[in-house]
Amino acid sequence: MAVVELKNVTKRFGGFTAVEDVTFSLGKGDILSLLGPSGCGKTTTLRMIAGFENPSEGDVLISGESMLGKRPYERNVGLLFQDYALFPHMTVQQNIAYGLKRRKFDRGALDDRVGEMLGLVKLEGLADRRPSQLSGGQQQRVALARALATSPEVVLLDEPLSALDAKLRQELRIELKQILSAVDATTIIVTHDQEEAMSLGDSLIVMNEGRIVQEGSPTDIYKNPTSRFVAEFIGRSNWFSGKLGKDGDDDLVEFSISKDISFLIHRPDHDAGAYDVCIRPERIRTEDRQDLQQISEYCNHLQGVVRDVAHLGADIHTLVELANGEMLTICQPYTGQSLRQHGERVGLAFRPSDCIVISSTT
Amino acid sequence: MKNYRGAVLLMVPGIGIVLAFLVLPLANVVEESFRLFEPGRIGAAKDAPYTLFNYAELLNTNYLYYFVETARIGLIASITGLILGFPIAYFITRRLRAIWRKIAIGFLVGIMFISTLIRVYALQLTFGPTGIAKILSGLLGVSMNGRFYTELIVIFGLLHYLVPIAAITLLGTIQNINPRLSEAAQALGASRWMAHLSITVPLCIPGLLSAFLISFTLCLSAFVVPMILGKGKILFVSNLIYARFSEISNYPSGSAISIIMLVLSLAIIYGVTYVVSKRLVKY
Repeated sequence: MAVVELKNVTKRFGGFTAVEDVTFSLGKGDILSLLGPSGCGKTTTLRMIAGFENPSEGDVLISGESMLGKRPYERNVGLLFQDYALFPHMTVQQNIAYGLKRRKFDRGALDDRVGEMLGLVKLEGLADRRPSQLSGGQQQRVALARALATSPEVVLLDEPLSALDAKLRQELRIELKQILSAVDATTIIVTHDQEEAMSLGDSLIVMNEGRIVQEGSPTDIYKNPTSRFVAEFIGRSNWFSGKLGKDGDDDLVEFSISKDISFLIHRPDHDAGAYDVCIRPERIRTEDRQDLQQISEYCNHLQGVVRDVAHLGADIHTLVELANGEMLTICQPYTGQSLRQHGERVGLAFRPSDCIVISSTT
Repeated sequence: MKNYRGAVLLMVPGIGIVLAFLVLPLANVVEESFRLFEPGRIGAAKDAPYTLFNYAELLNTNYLYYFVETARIGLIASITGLILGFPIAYFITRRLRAIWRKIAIGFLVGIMFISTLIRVYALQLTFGPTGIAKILSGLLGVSMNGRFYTELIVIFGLLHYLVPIAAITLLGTIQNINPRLSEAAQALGASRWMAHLSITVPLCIPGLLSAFLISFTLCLSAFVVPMILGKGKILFVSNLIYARFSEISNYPSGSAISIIMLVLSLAIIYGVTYVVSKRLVKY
């Protein structure tokens, strides 16, 4: 049975529709990421599950029971705020014990549970510190321990990693995932950060303007975005608009982006007239021109001139200008190769299967 | 340390003014308070002998009564002011939209600029014999000329400026409390009231303390309100000091009362601050 279920949930604030007809469900232990730009309705969705807002239409069910009209404290939901919202006038111990006290744990059971939570987040020995005496990462762990202490049926995380610096993020992301799976928590993560959403969530829901625009596994959504919005929001992309030309072998078809430049793509399922094609920067290879013909699987070949090269450490970003003036970004892992030079003429190779075809009307 | 001398030079005018207009007159008051007073004179004679009589005299229960009454009514008014001001401040910061918040704050600040004399007579007009005194005292079951009713009107007079002051002082405090804290408490199973009492109110303690101290010191030094609304039945220490200086020209006694008042006020401020910061504010 689904632990959390949203059925056709709509939320209006005055004349503004923040969330429109959102439906999804989560089973025990699932981790779902709700991803979208700010104002897309993801936070409102989270607040409706937590009980701070009531849906205008539809229903929110937790463990099969309708939550309509139930106050936050009448639900069993763990909530981790972006800024942690630790109680500054209480110690770590008191922060974690707060929810247990409200649920009338007796003294012994309460102490045991707090100890257990401190162990889970590896903060034994810091029980008597105040939040102001902790680092950002430690504060986050306390907030997580506090949210998990009451064994909530569902855990809601609001941008859990965004307040941390890049290095700490990486560490805590792994730890967060371990902790969540250790307690088998059914979790919903709300974020605008695609990396956070993709790395933490088993499944992903992308929202825009109050609606769900696509859902699936992170890999599936990255590989097969169904709209330009999703393709642009998740990952980097190079875009071409053009027209379909004559058919090639199998299901391939020519796609021309200008008078002399065209390449092969897979024939789209639906006939929509105009199409946009997206190619991920890491799917394009730069080759010296003479080598081009030898790599047959990369049957699409374009010519270009290098306009910028940026070495970012693990990756190299190369900006290439095509004959029609369009710019392409190419991202390659740095494996010790020599970098391309400004003004150098290069060949670009990619497969038809690397071209994501999206109808221009979506 | 290069600009040390320059900084000292810049401070000279300020220090000079403080010395000339604050420290010196105060020292004069201290000195006067130890002089022997001969009835009939205006102030003590230049060569009057030093004495502790002016202070010893105050131990008389008749005088102590003024201090106790001032503190008692001041305490009632300050605490009532806090109780009324807190919800106003909370409502303004948490419930109002930006434009209404500005209007409300402007209104509170505006009230404080009204002359004390005007507010006092406005209250007199409304709650006095020509106003609703009969009705209100009837409702309370007390005489409208009795002490209780007079005291009530004095407290109203004090609240007239204590409520806006308390609310304005608390605005910043409440503004600085993350509203997520209360939501976090509710998500952890606390009812709204419980969240408010266990999270918001404790975090407001520093603000409540400063609001209380401002209110209480204003009450202790209140003069016009008890003089006009108290109608001779309620006299604060300030009124006693005024009577000493201007009615019987006993400067030494007036000085002694002023000094005691000053010492008591400072003791209360430091005492309350110390207790609250040591015992209640732990973060």
